[in-house]
Amino acid sequence: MFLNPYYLQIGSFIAINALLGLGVYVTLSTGQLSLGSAGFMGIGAYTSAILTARYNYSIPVGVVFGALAAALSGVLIAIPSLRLRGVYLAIVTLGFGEILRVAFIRLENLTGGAIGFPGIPKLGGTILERLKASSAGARIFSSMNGNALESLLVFAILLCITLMSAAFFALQANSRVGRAFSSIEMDETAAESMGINVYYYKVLSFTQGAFVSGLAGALYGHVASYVSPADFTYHRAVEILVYAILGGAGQVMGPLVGASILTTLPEVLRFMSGYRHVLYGAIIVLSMIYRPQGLIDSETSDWLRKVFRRKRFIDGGVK
Amino acid sequence: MEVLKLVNICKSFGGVSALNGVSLSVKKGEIYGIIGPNGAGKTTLFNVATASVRPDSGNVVVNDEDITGLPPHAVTKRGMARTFQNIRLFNRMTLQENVMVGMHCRTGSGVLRSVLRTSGQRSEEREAKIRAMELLDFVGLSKYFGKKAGILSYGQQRKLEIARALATSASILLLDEPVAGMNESETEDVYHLLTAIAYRGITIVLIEHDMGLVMNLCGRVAVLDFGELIAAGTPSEIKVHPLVIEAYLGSERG
Ligand SMILES: Nc1ncnc2c1ncn2[C@@H]1O[C@H](COP(=O)(O)OP(=O)(O)O)[C@@H](O)[C@H]1O
Ligand SMILES: [Mg+2]
Repeated sequence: MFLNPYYLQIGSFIAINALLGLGVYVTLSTGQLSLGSAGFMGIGAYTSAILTARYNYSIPVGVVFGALAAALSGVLIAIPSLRLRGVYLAIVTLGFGEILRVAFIRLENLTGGAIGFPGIPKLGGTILERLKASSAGARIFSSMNGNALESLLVFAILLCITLMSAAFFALQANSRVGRAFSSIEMDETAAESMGINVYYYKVLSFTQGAFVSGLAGALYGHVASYVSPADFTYHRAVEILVYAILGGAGQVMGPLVGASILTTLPEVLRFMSGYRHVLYGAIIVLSMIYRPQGLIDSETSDWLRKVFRRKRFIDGGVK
Repeated sequence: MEVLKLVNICKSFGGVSALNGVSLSVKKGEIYGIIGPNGAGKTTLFNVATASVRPDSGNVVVNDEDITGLPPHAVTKRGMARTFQNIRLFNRMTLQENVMVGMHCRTGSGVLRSVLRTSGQRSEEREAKIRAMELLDFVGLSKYFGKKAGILSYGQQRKLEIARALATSASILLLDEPVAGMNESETEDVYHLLTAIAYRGITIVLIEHDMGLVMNLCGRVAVLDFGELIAAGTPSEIKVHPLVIEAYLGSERG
């Protein structure tokens, strides 16, 4: 059942959305509210698509450069926006996303314009072919549905990248850099007077957010094998913001939980056909009313950590 | 030796002159008091000294280096830290974390070392935690080290701000009304705390309305009124200075 390609594909989209949610989380961890995620996602997606489909670079190279291109544009946006706060920054980044979307439509030679960019190499394609070519791989292959194997491979790769990114942010949060981030989020003036270079850390957190958004976008292109400007609208940016906020933007766990729930929900609600969007919206509204801090706040994450610790301790004791 | 010199500082906010040509110099190891009626410009003088407000004219010299125009974090790095009249703690951080933020400019682990948890990073982190505990102990708050700063009482928050400022390894400490809102026994605690800090060789500049504290603690006192330095000298000289008496009586009348 777990090899059902349909479930595996939902799993892959959860991983990508969780990555996007992490982008919001890290930007917000210095108090910066950005709605640029869809734009950064687009930069990552088109950069990797162009590099791999047009210039025959391998997918890992395309993905890394996609994320780097998004990070670079993140720096360029972050520096002039440093003095903006709250909704003002949100509006500027929203405008930036819309400018990019129009650019994706206009730069037809590069992006394929409004029609979109088809034929992006599939993630795991090369590995799958090598596997087929080797004798051991061919045996596994013949015993399994090829479609399922491909979906499993894609899901495994995405899960790995997402968990590694989450681990990165969790380790960073509990360090000198993470403390600098939260001190800026809580009181910029006090942070600055404690010797923290507020500009540097704000640009850093914004850039990290742009990087993971670009990474997610690049991966998305290689999963869907087709992207178009319609994938990177402000509607998408708001959706990404909701993953983080509903899950709890103060903790690394938050966006992971938020993206998992909100990506699965429309599928679970499929039986309601026309009404599912209404229920989807209602669930978001109710959850924000009853848990404005998000499903995962610092108390839940401390509790989870404690439960996990205790279990590990018992495991150790048995040994 | 003079560790802090303010030279001819002028600052006005939209036509209102908050500081008008204020000069003063603070010697190494002394406790220097700044008094004056509300709105006299005392806090603004601290803001200018720590670079969070840029003066219209004048210079700030710390340990013989002109620091005018540097960003605030660079001033902290040069050994001058402050507390705030309206307490500015990181309320959702623990006491220990608050103090560790103060050590930011004396530690060096960046993103890579933090995420890779290198041995250097781990020992730096361990030492920072120990030092934070020592500082919390020094101000009498170590038993709350894992609690969030927001739950502390007003007086405890003021002490935590002092611990956090000390964590920057400052050699000059600027304290803006450290006993405001404290009861008598808390004020007494702070008196002993400041004596102990001065004993460590740290220079203290103190804005305070509590005259008892100022007169007992400070070697020299400067008096500000309407942005002007109207008198400076030892507490006993200040007490009988005619301009000071007039400023205080005047402000009480108005
Ligand atoms: N950021 C600011 N913007 C406008 N006016 C200010 C600002 N900071 C201080 N002032 C004004 O400068 C004067 C001095 O204020 P302040 O330095 O806070 O006085 P004190 O600390 O001696 O009570 C007051 O008139 C105050 O209103
Ligand atoms: Mg004041």
